[in-house]
Amino acid sequence: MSQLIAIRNGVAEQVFDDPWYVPASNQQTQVLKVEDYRQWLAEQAGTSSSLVPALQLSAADEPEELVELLQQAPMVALNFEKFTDGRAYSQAAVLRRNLGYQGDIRAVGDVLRDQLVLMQQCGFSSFLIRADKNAEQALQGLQRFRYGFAR
Amino acid sequence: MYQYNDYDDALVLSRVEEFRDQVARYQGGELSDDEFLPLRLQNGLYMQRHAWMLRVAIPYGTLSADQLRLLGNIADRYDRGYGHFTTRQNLQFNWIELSDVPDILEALAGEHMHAIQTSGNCVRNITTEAFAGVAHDEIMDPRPFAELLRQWATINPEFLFLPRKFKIAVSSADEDRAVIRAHDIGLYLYQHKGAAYFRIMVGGGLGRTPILNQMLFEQVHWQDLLGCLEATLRVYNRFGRRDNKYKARIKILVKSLGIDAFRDEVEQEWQKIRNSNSAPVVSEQQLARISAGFERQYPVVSAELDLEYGAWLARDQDFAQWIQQNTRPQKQAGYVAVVASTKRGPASYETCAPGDLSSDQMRELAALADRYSCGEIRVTHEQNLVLTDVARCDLYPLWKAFQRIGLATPNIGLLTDVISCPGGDFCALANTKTLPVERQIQRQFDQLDYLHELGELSLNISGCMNACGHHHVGNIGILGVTKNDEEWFQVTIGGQQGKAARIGKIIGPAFRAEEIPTVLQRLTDHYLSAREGDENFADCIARLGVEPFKQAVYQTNEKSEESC
Repeated sequence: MSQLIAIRNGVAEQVFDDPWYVPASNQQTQVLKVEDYRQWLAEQAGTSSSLVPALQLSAADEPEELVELLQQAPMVALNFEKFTDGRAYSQAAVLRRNLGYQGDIRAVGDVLRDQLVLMQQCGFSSFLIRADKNAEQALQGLQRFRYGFAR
Repeated sequence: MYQYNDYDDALVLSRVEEFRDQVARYQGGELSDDEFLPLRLQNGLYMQRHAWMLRVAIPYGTLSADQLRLLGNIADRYDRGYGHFTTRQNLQFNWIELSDVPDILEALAGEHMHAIQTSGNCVRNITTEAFAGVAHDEIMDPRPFAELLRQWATINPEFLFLPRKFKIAVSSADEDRAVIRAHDIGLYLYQHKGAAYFRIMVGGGLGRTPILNQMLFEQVHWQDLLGCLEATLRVYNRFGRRDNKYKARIKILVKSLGIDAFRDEVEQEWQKIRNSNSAPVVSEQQLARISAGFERQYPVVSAELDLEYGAWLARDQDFAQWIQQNTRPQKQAGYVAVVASTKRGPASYETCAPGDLSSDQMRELAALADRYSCGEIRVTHEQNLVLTDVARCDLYPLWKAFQRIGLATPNIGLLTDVISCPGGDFCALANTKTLPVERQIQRQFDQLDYLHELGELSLNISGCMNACGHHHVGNIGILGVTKNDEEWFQVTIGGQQGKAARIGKIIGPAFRAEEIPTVLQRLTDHYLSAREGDENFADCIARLGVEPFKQAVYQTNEKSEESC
């Protein structure tokens, strides 16, 4: 079972071939937190690697200060410590709108069906559903009415 | 009023279906209590002391007659035949079954109503004054902008899990009747070179830490308003405290950063929003569509018929008194706004709370709005109801009708026009019961002549620190507190709403509920002996300070607690 849902070509679907979370894959690349990412970046200086890690931010991290890392990272994971902590919605909005980040923005942590559509509207493009929840059912959370202001 | 378009209809209906599904998943065990909590709160559903409470949104306090009739019918079918109007212009049903809620919401949707974001840590109902569009001292009609804000805030995905609730109020008159200074964001709408601008104030709120808001920006063009608010909310969402519920309102963030540093943060964010062209854009056409719903033609009223009105004024003193106390002039010549008092004075103080209306009263009032007004009813911050656009010749029959349904107490703005939260009889948060205190006050001050002699005097009662009765800004405020499992009531004086808003000062040790009427009597007696000319209660305290009033209350008081 995969807990991952992603928007691919505008369609939300359960994903079974994710490069970041495939168990026992030799090709598995890493998801690094800010300090580890900086270190990786420093070690990479001058070399070219095909395995560029993804970046995971905590809700307190400020994307504006991480532009150098964001230029590298093909995926940014934003963590919901609790689903009631809404900071990651603004982080995603900042990433997408203010900073023009084009890669995958992934919701991880306390990620639940009833918030998926809100996340998507703020710029999230993939969702790692909390382990004890049914991801197939959670997919229905993205079929909801998408309210948009200034229609 | 605002007319829903197909999109609004689709939105509220889809929301009903979504919540129906969420209730089913909760009842089926798929959603935990914690997971269901914010979902139900954002649909207006609270767990109270004895039952579920559903808070229905009344955007900026405006209802159509049909909507009020529907609320009456819902009260009969799903509640105990009454509803409670709140200080934020919403309506609460107190005795609701969870399994009925989706059907109630569906019925509401049929009349273009909902309960979206009447609770939860999100942007709540946008409020404005009850006399919007008709107030004699109005600069511009705030309702189109309040509606614009409603649309922007509704299910705005970025701001549904803020650190804490967020309240916005708009005013655009010489006198502020929407308490905008005590809101997270207070907006003052004004005209400059023919265009609409806003003064934006941030960081106000009552509760445990009462603070009036501070100037964020002096002059923001209406088309920039949403971008500016988006920047403000984003700064708050990211940096507001989440570790302590009581320190989570934006006022604490503004206070800890200082208004200047907070403004810098907002300006920076706002600039980034501008640079990325991601601010919500509102066209002139969109505003025009919204505004059209609020425009009304006023037929010229015949002066001849006023003769009859004048005759009744001369003939019937009670009528004249009601006119004096419960009606307000409008900017439209020949029309009057009429306030129906939900504070019924000594007549029925055993049975109803301030802000309560029975289902029959709702239907009767709706019928009167159709007959004498414009089919519209407003809810005031003081928990009364207003019919606007009443022709003078209709005032006498309207007054008679109000008398018949118990809404004619001529006490608007007087001591017995009490603002009160529902208190411990209903609310699970309250630590004291406010309604018995309110009733004792009604009993003590049952002489209209004395009330009129006292003149303008606001009395606000809150059953706990959360301050839903806004006791800090009442000329007299009463706050219920508990000590050793006993109910005590702290009295503040000198608070004030409006542009000259002030937070009241505690006069001293708290009192037992049964002492409160005497305390108030001493305060008012002292005022009558100390006032100069036609100085009102608030001005008298401002001139003399709290001390002489404190002495008047405590010199003969023995029962008061020593150190609460």
